Amino acid sequence: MITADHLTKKYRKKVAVDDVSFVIETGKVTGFLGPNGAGKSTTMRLMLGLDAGQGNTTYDGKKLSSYAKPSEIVGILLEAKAFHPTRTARSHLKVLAAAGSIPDSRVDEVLDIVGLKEVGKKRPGKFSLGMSQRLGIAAALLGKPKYLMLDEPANGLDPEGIAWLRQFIKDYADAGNAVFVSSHLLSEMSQMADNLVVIGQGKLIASTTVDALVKGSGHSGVFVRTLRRTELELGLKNAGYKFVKQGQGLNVTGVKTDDVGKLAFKVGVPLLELTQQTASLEQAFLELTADSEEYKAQGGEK
Amino acid sequence: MLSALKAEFRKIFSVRSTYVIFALSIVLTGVFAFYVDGLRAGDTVHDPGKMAGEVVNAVNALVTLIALFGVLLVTHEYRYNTIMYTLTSSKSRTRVFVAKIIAISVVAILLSLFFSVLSPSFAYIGLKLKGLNLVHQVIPYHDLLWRVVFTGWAFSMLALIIALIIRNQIGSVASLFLIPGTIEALLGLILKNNVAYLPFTATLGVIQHSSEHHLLSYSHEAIIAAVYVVVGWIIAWMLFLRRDAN
Repeated sequence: MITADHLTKKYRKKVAVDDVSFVIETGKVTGFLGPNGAGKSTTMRLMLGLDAGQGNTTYDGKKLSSYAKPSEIVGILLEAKAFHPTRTARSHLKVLAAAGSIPDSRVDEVLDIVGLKEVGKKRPGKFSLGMSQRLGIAAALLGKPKYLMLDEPANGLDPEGIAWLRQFIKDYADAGNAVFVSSHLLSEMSQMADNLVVIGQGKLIASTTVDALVKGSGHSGVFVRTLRRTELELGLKNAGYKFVKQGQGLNVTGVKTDDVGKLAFKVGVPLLELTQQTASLEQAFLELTADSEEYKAQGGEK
Repeated sequence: MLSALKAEFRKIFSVRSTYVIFALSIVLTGVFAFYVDGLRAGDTVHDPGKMAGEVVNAVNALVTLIALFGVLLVTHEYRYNTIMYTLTSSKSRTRVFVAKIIAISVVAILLSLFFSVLSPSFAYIGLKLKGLNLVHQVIPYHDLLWRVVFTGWAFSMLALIIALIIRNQIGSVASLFLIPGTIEALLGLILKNNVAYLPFTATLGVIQHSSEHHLLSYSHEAIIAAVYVVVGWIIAWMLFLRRDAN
């Protein structure tokens, strides 16, 4: 288990990460979401001790620096192009292997895992973004770490690569490890993450399971449509249900279709539509971070 | 510690720039020692200190190129962001810091020795090819040996310290070329003989006196340079521990 405790990072007057605490459970994939500039990368760097800041991060109760071989505890991919362009892919990994006291034989294993064995002797300066990501993933896997910390690992990967990465991450976590992964691909995240940590403007917005986040969204609930909406609204209010107007109907949250159906029958309102709605992760995410987007595109008015 | 050291050596010997700088150093030695001081030598064959002078010239000329190894070892890490791997692979930043110092010390000393042998050898071959014979040479081996080793090492350490403080590759390389040759030379106009107390001037003063009057002995110049190196290490180490790794 990784425990991030009161992480804070300030750049002069700007607070990039503001008292963020969360837990990453072993055996699970934890997604890390937030708008651009929310502080995701800075949080990861704080967790690894790369940036100076306040707060603590422990890996199974101990600081990363207290382990004899930190590479066996956490493997990182924070930037796809983090390699010297004239050092061959294999040499790059051999340097990292030496630094982490990892045998050189592991280099060929990880190159094979990420599908780069054929280009191991090539200089990665001209690698595509997808190949660079694979090399970064290989670097993260070198020490067979218990924890993987991946920042936008799917960037630049082709569809086959994304599918491979998704399955790989899930399998890695299932093997008793933990993966902490940030991504802007919410559909991917919804398919692979068990838990989510959401931050916005440096602050923790949510640390929960994907299911809880989606169910708690205003877009989840029961959609009900009737010609006698005012009467139904009154009945819902009296029953203490929460609802919002949605098109020609109402979206009632925190209830099941049965509850709304029974209530409508009780107040004598005929229904035209009664549907269970489940929000997408994207809807839930946008709803959560609506107030914390630092960089927003302006509307397309002409 | 050994793993960090092994990684630093692998970093040095797995990039193209290492071989480019090494090749350039050999070419320069060939041009100046073999061609200028050998094939085109004139009356200097009667100088009993010619071979010792070749050693001094080689170190003076190549010490900046040798120091580039240290500058590039550090600045490549920040330029290509591999520093994040380096720091997260090690138990402590101090180990990484010490490993870099040891690796560059070894490279600097070995290269200084190599070129201080290669340069007089090239000059000797050049003279022989021209059919000239040297007069009996007086070579103070022990004195030259420690001065070559110290100058090569201290100059590289000062360059490494600059790189660790600045971290930017262009800024560090520019500083390496500007501070010893231009900035300290300009300061010399104000400081006169006291220029010998400046870091690079003191370091180079160990291989060749920094003033015509020989106000300071080689060992005094070495002590001044060593003080700069130690103070520089402390400043660079403190910054290395505290700063964000980017």
